[in-house]
Amino acid sequence: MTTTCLDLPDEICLLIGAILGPKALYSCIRVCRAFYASFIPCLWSNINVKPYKCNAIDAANVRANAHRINTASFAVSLTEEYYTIIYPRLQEIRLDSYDKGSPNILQAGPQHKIHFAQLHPTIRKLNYGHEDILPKEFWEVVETTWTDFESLGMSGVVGADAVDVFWRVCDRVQDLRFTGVNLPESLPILSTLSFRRLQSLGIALYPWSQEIPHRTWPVQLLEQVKTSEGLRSLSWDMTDTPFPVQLVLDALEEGCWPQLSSLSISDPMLSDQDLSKILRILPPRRLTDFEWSSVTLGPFTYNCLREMYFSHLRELNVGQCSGVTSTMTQAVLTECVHLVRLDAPHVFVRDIATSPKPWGCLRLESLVLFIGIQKYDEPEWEGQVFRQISKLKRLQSLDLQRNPHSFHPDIARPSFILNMATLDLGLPAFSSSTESSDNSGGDIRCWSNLVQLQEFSFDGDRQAFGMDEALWMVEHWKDLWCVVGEFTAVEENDNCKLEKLFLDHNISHY
Amino acid sequence: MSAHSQILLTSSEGTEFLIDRDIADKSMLLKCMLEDIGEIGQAVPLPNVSGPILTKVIEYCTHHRDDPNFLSANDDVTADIDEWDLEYCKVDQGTLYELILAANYLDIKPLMDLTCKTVANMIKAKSPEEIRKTFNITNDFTPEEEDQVRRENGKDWVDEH
Repeated sequence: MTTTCLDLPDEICLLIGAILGPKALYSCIRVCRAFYASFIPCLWSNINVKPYKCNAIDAANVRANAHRINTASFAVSLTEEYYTIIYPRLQEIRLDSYDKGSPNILQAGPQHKIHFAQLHPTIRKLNYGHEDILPKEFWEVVETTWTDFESLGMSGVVGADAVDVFWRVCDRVQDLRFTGVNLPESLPILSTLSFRRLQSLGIALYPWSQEIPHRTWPVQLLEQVKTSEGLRSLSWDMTDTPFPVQLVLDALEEGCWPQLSSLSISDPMLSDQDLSKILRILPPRRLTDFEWSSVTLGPFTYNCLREMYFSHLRELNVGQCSGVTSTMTQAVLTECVHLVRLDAPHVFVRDIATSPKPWGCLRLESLVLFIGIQKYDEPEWEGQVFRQISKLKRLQSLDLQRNPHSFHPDIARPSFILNMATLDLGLPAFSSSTESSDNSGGDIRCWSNLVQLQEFSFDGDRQAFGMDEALWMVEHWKDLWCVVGEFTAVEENDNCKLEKLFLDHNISHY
Repeated sequence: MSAHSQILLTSSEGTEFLIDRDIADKSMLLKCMLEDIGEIGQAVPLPNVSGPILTKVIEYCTHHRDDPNFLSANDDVTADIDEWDLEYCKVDQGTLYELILAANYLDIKPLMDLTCKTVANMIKAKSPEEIRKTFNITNDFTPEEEDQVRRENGKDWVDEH
């Protein structure tokens, strides 16, 4: 008797299920009864309950599967019904803010949330993004009953009477992220707190915040976390409060934060020299993730990165720096062999095609980059670029838009990029002859081997994409779940066909 | 304990395998056992593992013998499978599942990750019908049940990560 896949024990199916995405799991449970039983726990382990195209996951279905849920995201407008369900294994809850436009916003009141907190002492991670003020009792429940609590993401308001207990909760966690948190200014952080377990700290404002009162608590917090020996990641994005350079330089000089390997700073006033000083003083050979989101990336910083960190950078995010030239980007792509994510403004076809060395960043999973064509480029260069990108077999996300952050004008890419021509990805108009494809430099078909691709973004006004391209994507990129860009060559009465194609394949299209 | 010492294993059919200690140590089960009881001088019986499968497991451990990242290399479950490992997994499905069971029993995490990833790749991007074909499974749902599964686990929310 040979072993079949139905003989695999459940714990092994759980391991396999953990590798599969929701699309594959949804297929699995419809295969047969045994597969249903093996994979249904994986499908429900992480759920996102939000009103999507008018209906959230039904509360009755959630209740029936509550024992399988480890991680849940609740949209703002979710009714209290979902808060009364007991999820015995809940580890992570995200109370998201992103469907603010819904008419029945905040249907669950603070009392429901306190009750929910009491019922779920197993929670380790909380991300709170609703806009109500959580009462003091809520934080008291977290402090006293959530014994394994380790990660807090917070955006919203902390009431004056809750400040002390709020900071005591913060003092216990490993991972602390503040986004647009509003704390009463007059109440300082308790000086007895040491944030000993802290590994990751992020302090940011909403980019779209209206009023910008000057705050002192972020600097005070940074001063107080100097004793956090395990700090690995520091992120600062406060438009109103300058990055405290001297404080950080002093801390690093004193030997604080020996593990720091991820640094993300956004502060337009921070000078190139100061930034490079910080990079030079960082414990050598540690930095793997670097994000710098201000207008310029100066020569001091760039040279320091190249000298000290290119060989181990995993993540580089400089997409909003106009100071990043095509030559710099090409150097990053060639030399950073461990790079997993890159967001850079642009690179010229010329620099890729005439480079003596091919790209070394073959581990890249996410690439946000505009590829520019100049006037006197040789026609065959484009083909080289297509082939170069086709080597990035691990790509899961590819964003080739001129201005991927266009929804927010303050973080736009440098303006000279906006008028530049780019690669033509479209399929040849008549696919009947093979010669036409040989003549052109290349097209989207060169990327059929990017089989892990899940997200793809392009400029609709530069690519005349039609049904053929959409069909090609669906056929070749089986893991695709998100496409961003307008299909301008689809005729008006074919629009529903296009939407249906994507809907049938569980792909979101924006 | 000398690194060059050898260990005798017995497969389910009673076939004996003499392997180097550092190869045996790739299996957490054997490693802990040998650390606890020391070298017992007699064969360690592995009643759950057949000879051909044990040969295959030893082949894997021998290839990765000097791999410094043996235990941490495959932490990233979505990462690519390297060429040798890819070839190694080109076996019939029955062998693949027995390898998974052996890796699980012997507690060899990298082999476990590799074989599970191989099965996951066979499932990915397929419709239920295509999965049935791949694994030679008969659909034992009634149409009503199928409809119910669809309804209770509706795809409204499956589009997001």
